[in-house]
Amino acid sequence: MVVTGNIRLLAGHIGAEISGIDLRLLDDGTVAALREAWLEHKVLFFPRQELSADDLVRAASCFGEIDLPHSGLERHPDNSAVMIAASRKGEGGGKYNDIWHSDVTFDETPPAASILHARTLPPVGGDTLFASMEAAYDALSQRLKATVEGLEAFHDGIPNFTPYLLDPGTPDGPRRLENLKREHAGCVHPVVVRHPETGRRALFVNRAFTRRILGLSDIESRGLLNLLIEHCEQASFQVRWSWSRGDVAIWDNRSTMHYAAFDYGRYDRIMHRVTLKGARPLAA
Amino acid sequence: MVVMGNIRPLTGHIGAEISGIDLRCLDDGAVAALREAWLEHKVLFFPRQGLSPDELVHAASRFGDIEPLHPGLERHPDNPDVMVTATRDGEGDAIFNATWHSDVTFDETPPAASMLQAQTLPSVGGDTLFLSMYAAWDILSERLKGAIDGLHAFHDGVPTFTPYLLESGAADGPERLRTLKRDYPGSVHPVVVRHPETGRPALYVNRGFTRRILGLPDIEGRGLLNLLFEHVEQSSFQVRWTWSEGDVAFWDNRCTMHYAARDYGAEERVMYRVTLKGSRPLAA
Repeated sequence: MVVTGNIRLLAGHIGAEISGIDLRLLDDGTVAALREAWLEHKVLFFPRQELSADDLVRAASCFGEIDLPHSGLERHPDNSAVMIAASRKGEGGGKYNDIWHSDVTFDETPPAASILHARTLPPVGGDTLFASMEAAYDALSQRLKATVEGLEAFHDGIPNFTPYLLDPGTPDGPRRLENLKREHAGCVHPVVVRHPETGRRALFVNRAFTRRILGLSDIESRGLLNLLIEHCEQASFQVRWSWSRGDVAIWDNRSTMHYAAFDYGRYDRIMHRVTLKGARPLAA
Repeated sequence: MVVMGNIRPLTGHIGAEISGIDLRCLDDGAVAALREAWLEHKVLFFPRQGLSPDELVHAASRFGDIEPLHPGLERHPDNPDVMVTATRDGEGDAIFNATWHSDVTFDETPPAASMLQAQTLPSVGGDTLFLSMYAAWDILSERLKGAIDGLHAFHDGVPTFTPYLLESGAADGPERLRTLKRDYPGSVHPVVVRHPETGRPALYVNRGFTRRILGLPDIEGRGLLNLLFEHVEQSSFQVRWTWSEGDVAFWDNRCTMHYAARDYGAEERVMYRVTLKGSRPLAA
């Protein structure tokens, strides 16, 4: 059971570190308490967990149903539910992941959550940042809240994944790109969403995948989207986590964005990720 | 004397924590070693110093000449070289400090350095972020490096300080604004500068004070400036420091920007700052 003393808040709007927990040994009471803390703090960090690929999937499955990685991603050979996010010798996903995004918002039902495990880290650098989209919504002026009320936007993963998948350093990139294009043609989501569990409102646009606001001219859509993207990316809504090997982060993908800093050049950085199935985002 | 074990780099591009140093007792060897570490890491963090205003001024003066404060700022009653930056009940400096800026770039000779100590902190939040303008320059594409080669920009502090001085409720706000306008009509600096000590090129535009690129049509100047602001503000070039009371940060104002996160609502946050005289920025 998680007691208050195990939770250390990391920033004013988002993020908490949980100590004294082994993610291999979760009873129902602990899962319920962690779930509550997770909804409140949006991203939980568990230092130094010793988890195999299977252990990671088992821990994730305590919090929901596993979502398999989409075809743009690299899968772990031992467990296909585990995505490998790797940067090796300056090649791989690292140089393409330093952009703010929520995971897979170009799907009709984006993941509810993602769990990330640090396997191999550079000697310094390679932090991951998370932002509260609820704080971003709350901080918007009344005028802009009214302006974006009821709007919907088109999300598309292809433009963001194309340079990565056509990079000669990406294994099997062209075939993965073809699969991605076939399976993920993009989709439309509300610009302001209501969280299915907490009922709180959040902005739901991100620089990586949100392409166009519907019902506006191209000029108005670009201008408003740029404004919202810059607004959401303010550091006041963020937390920054410096990884140690074995650290695990669990985030609520419905109320956050994240960004992987690429400041480690040719050093290796290898992370394992498991995602949990989500529902269609609800209009606020 | 600072030995290697006392320096802990915090990210790939910027920031180091220095332990085992009392800033009240610096011999010449320690000053020389710290200066070298400071030029390399751009911002040094000294945990739990707890200096009096006079001690802070004395510590800063070991690294250069103290710069008097401009009239937009609040002075400490015990020592006029100490700036008090305070947020109370959601009012105060947080309004303009949650914008990326280098200090006083609207002066002909902006400060070379600033030293900041945390006096009163909120229960959580109120981090300060720093970024490397060297890294921002290095990572710019050759095409964009060519596009901004030799350009100059106009910096002006009045638009940024006006809402603060007129809305913060300070009785002397309008008078300080008049003095600021008279003494600081703005200045022109190169868009790419060369550091006077390291010789390294750095981007030198900031969202807080840089208003206009000279020699270009308005639309091109705005577009380029917005592109450069978004480019330099990428989290890959940043470090984020979570304060404890008494912590001191010492940064090189010639190759960094900083941002004070505003995520602590109506709680109080009070910091003391001392700045060191700088010279006119050199074109790269």
